[in-house]
Amino acid sequence: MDISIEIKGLTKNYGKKKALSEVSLSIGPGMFGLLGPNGAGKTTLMKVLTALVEKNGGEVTVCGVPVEDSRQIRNMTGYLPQDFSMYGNMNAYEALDYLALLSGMNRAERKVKVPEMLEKVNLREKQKTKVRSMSGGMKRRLGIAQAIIHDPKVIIVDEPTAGLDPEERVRFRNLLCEIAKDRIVLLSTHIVGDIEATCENIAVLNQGKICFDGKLTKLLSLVEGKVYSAEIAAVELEKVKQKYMVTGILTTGSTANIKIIADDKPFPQARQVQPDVEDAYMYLMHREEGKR
Amino acid sequence: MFGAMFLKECGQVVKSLTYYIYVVVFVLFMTSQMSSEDLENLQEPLPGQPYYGETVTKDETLIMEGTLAKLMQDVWRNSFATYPLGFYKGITLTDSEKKQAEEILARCTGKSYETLEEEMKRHFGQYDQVSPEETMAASASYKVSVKEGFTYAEFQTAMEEICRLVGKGSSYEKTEYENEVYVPMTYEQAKEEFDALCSQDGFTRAYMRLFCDYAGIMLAILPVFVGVSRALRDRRAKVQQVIFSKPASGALIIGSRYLANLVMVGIPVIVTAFLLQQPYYYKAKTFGIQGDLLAFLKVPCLWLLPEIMIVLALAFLITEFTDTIAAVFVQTAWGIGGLFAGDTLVGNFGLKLVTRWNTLGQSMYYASLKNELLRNKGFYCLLAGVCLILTILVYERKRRKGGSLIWKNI
Repeated sequence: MDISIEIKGLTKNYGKKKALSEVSLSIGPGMFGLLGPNGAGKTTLMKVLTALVEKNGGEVTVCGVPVEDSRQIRNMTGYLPQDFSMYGNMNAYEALDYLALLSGMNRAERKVKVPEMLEKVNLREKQKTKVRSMSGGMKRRLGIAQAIIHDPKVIIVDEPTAGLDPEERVRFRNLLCEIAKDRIVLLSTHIVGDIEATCENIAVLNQGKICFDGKLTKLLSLVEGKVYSAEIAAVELEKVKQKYMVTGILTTGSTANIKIIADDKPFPQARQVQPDVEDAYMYLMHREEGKR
Repeated sequence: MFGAMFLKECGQVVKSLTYYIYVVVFVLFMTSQMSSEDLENLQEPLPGQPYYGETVTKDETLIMEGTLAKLMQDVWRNSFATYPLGFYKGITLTDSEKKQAEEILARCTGKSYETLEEEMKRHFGQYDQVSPEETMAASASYKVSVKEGFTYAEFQTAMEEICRLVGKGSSYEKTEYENEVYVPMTYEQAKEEFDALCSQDGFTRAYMRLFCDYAGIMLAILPVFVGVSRALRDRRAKVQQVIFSKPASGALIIGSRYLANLVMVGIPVIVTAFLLQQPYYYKAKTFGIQGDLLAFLKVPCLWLLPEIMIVLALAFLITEFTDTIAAVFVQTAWGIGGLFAGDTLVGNFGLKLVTRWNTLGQSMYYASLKNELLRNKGFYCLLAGVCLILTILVYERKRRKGGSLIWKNI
């Protein structure tokens, strides 16, 4: 089976507002990160891919199936929405069993798969906990369990780590990496750290348009040799911020350690440092801003 | 798959507070309305009793007198209740139409309208109009005599003219006025009626019709709360998106929810009917009659199931379409409006949502109206089916649109 997502010239409007404009992407097996600020159109793209909203133009196929064939698309995709929840009066087992039934699994299959999935997402011991009593992290883990229970070829997760504590976030990212074997996991987020830790291939969406598509190393190469670190007087900070793109500040008394992006060495005491994805992302966003 | 979904949805209903409120309100209402007085009064009529109850008369003179009395009051108030499609519609005549109606009255009675008006005022003046009992007694005893030599055929022609003035569905249609005039029963009639109650209804079926009369009033409104509560739960619990993304069809999701709600709303009705029926079943035995033990199931299924079906189906449709509690207001208006606009407490089913049978017995009259009742119930079953199909279509549309059809989706 062809495991891929092909998007060509995708357009989606909400009334007069253009949520997606001529988006083209090609996604293969493994983790794929979709990065972008809030309101960039990431959720809309996820919904088009899961047949939850109709596109206005372009072509989209998931594993060779056009998104218009919603029944087939739903069979081969698992979706974890941004604000996943379930009926508060159900416990973890009941909720997963209910959603597994909606995924078309018969009783015998559910009897095997539901405990297995709860085990996988580390909720087996909490299977009697009511959804209303679950923490954000537990809900997300239940959410990922329901998304993968019918063994879909494509898993789409929308902002899965927002609001989680650092430990939960790391655990959740690891879980996503584990399930990404032999399938596509499309991770949408505005948290750069999540992408950096899990994805090799990424796309950056801004204002409904793709402004970067490629490997993480390619994104990093955009700022190669342009990231500097320097210690300056705290009073100078405002002046520096106006002149350069500052991606990090650590103030200690009257001095401030800053990280800036600049095409040339900004001041004599500045030293070049290794860029990270956050620097590259900020640079990209700044460049896009400049284009507008 | 459908069975498993159905059971899960039943579980959802059982866990809902709205459902328990429905059960408590329904059971309290029914137990308070269904008194044991009827059971105690249920005796074989004996010759020489002062009163045997009332029955619909087939006496043409009495039909003419009763119908003209009603017509006189309607013309005087210039207010006619009609049910063109089974739903209430009040009619007020124009001056020229009213004049024509007055002339028809004069032609039937041989008296001028002014004389008839005076006689009516004199009659009602004898009663205390503040007391409801006196008002009812005044209406019951008010009669308008036809002129000498006036035939039943002429009367029918006159009523056809009235129907042309007030439109379809009035009390002046032949099928209506021939079943609307009540007279006190004779011993023979009472005996015949009692025998029919025993042989045709075995007591329990007649009692269940009375049960359905009261239950029908409640069930015209109460199930809407259960239906709306279920239909809104996905949005409230924020599970719409995740359920929309699942392969299960809209027909499976909505169909199983609907059936589960229907069954769960029906269970307290059937259980209450069964419990209230028992004294009548044993009373029948004291008369040496084998009562119909399954009447608690058969009669409510015919009388109440189509009503619950349409109320729930409409609740699902309106709620899925609007994502609001608008269905509660629509259904309450329909239920209460229909009830207060009702012109009779027994029979005259038409296409009314609440079919009334506020009497224990009248088995022969019921037998004559059974086809009309079946038409009414069949219509609502069909309408419920249409609403359900529309709900599934709306649900699928929402699914492709990513949420509400009316409100902004994020």
